[in-house]
Amino acid sequence: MLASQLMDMRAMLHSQGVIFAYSGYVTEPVLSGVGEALKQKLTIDDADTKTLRSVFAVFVEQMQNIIRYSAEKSQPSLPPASDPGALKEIRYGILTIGREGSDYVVCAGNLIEPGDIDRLNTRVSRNRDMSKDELQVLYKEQLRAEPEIGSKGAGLGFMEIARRASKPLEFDFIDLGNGRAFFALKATI
Amino acid sequence: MRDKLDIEATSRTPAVSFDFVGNHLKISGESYPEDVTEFYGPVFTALDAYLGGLGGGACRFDFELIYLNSSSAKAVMMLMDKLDAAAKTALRSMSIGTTTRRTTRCRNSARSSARTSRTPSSI
Repeated sequence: MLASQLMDMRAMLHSQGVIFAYSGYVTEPVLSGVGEALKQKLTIDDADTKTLRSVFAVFVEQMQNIIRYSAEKSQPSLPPASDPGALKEIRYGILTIGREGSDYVVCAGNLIEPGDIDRLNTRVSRNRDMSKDELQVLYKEQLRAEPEIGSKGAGLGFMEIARRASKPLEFDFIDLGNGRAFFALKATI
Repeated sequence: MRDKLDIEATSRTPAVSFDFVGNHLKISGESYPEDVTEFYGPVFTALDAYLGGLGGGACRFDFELIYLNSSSAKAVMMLMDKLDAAAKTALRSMSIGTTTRRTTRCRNSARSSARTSRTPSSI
């Protein structure tokens, strides 16, 4: 039954403390819309300002990472977008925001090229293993460094996520064996 | 040289109010645009032109930024570097008044929650 199917999905998410779940093509309008809803929800929850700012910041960085680096392209059967330029680099991913006890957790997953596993593993491990003080110093250094070629952003995303997190980052990879791998990242605030 | 640069804030980009005649520049709000280069490019261009012609004049720059994503933090750092460079080039003594009100108590929140005023003045 349709109702029970959707209710089961909702119940499964709810049982894991998920407040928001998005699975699909991650575009800037999605980031804007989910971002606005997240801001309102955090305000209703009466989250303190520091927590609110950090959860939102981690959400933005994870979303923008997916938009920039996810490897999956749109299917031909999708309806044409109103802006063809935006569809040129459409990226697919999954993102959840939820509660674990008194903490907020932001999880994101996306398809990547298997060849990127080592690079990502090294980078995220390094950020996870640094102390807050070390992160602060490196962050300021990187702010002044030259931008990476081809990067539309500053290449500081994982560092910003690690700075905002209250626990070490958790992450995982699966090589899907079909020329694709899956990368998952969990940040706790 | 233009008189001013006014960019209205959007939900994801800050308000930019550069009054070049009055020598009062301000950037306020939140900053997490899709393409940082596309947004800040014109801002840098206008600022470069203004600073190049400032000479020994005084200028006030207010940073009232509530949230910056990592890419924007880099762009704002570049903005601050331009101000520093202009001051050094003019070889004038600067008094920089910095009022910092942090809305979150955290050693890591840095510039995204700082309210900063820089008031260089010539002798």
